[in-house]
Amino acid sequence: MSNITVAIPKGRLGEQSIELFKSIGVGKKINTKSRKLIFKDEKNNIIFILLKNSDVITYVENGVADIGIAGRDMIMEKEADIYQLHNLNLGKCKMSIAGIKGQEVFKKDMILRVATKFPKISKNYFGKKGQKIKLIKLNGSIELAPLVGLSDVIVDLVETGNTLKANGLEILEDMYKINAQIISNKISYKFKRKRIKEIIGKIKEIEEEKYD
Amino acid sequence: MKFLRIQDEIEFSEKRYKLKRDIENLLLSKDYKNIEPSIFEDYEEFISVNKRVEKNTTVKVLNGNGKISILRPDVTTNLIRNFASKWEENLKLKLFYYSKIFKNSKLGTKEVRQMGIEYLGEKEIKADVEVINLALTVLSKYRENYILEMGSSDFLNGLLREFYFSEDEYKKIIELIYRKNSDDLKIYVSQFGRIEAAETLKNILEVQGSYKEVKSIIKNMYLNKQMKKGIEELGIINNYLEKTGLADWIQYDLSMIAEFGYYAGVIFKGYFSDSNREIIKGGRYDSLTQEFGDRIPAIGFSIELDELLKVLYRKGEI
Repeated sequence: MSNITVAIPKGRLGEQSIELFKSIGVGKKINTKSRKLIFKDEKNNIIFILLKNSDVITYVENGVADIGIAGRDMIMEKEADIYQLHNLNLGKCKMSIAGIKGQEVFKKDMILRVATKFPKISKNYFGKKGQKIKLIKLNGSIELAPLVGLSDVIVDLVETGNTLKANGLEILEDMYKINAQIISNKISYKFKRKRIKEIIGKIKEIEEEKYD
Repeated sequence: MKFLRIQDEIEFSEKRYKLKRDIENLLLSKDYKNIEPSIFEDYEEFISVNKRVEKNTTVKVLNGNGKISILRPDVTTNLIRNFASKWEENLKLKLFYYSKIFKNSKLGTKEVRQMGIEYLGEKEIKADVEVINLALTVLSKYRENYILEMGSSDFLNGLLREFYFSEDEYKKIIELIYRKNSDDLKIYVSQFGRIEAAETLKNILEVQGSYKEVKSIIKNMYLNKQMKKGIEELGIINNYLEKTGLADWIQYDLSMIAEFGYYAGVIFKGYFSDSNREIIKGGRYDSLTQEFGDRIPAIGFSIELDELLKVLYRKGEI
């Protein structure tokens, strides 16, 4: 039986996904405290690789990982040619537009300056609304941008809203609901469909138990 | 680190030539005749026939008379336009070509080498079986572990016709199906009513496997003649292919979506387990011929020669 390679993001979503895999009886040996990046579950013929969040999709799209766990935000941003096989109840948050609280930023005739980690999503979203924007691509601390005058608004993930609040920002508009998904390489899915479906089937069972 | 030398480049080119000759010989032995399609397409015409093609991926050229042409993004449209307008009854043509197609990507304009065949004028099932058999022969020539995936655009289009989608809704549905995003599809489809059709559409991503498996899932879930025709055709083709012993390598997927909108009838794609791209893609496209003249039975496929070469070269098989 050939191996299935599973790409897991590091960080909290990764921890939760590993827990999920362990609950269906695979990947028992994964230990995120160690510095190892590859864990083999020889009994079940599954290899787990731990990656930076944004690289999961790249690995899956290129077929070095068969399936992976990725946030919908990244999937939308990368526009990767992959299958989105299952919605997980993990990594839930929303993507929103936020600006300085109480400040009028929406001057329709002006070019709106948007700071974000998600330039493609932002471009498409504002494009559909007919709003001209200037994109400012940042890699972190997005909330800072409007405060120091780098941008008018930000497009970012919002979970509790606490970070926004702490920085005097407020949500102007919610764009998308975000959650994690099980993604698959397209060709892997053709050759290993039964096994991939079996794994997802078991995960669904666990999810239903939790739900009940 | 060693970089590419002139010597290597020429060796590689030689290998590509050899591979091309190999396949050409196979096609010649099956009575296919070589043709050379034109490199230019009329932009407006191409877009109106091929609605699913992303407009910005086409490579545009400004003509002397101010009209926009594109460098052919696919060979079939080009070829059919040429033949359909002057078709003679009872003509049967088996053609093959070796040529480049052009597309724009993030990294610039790409040239992709394609070899392909078209079988025009022969009755549907007979040509379907012969062409699919040929695709299987090409795939099995180079790999033991391959898959030919087959679907029916009649079945899927027939199902989608049960709804009254706006263009945006239709695009969204196709995208969800294409990405096998069944959870989102189920939620999205629910808003359109049409309970019976919606149930089938929600489960379309489950309809995969051998013909037997697919048939047992579908049972008699036809909502109209077009869907019935689609699945029955696959059944007849499968019967023939079983006799050749190659049917084991075929997987059916009734949610399969073709890149070009002109396919109507059986569609198929061929994969190797050690390649991350399609090696073969094709299908029946009688409706395309109608755009340019009479309706002619037409089926064909193309082989991604660059990808095939890469896979074989990587393992030192060529």
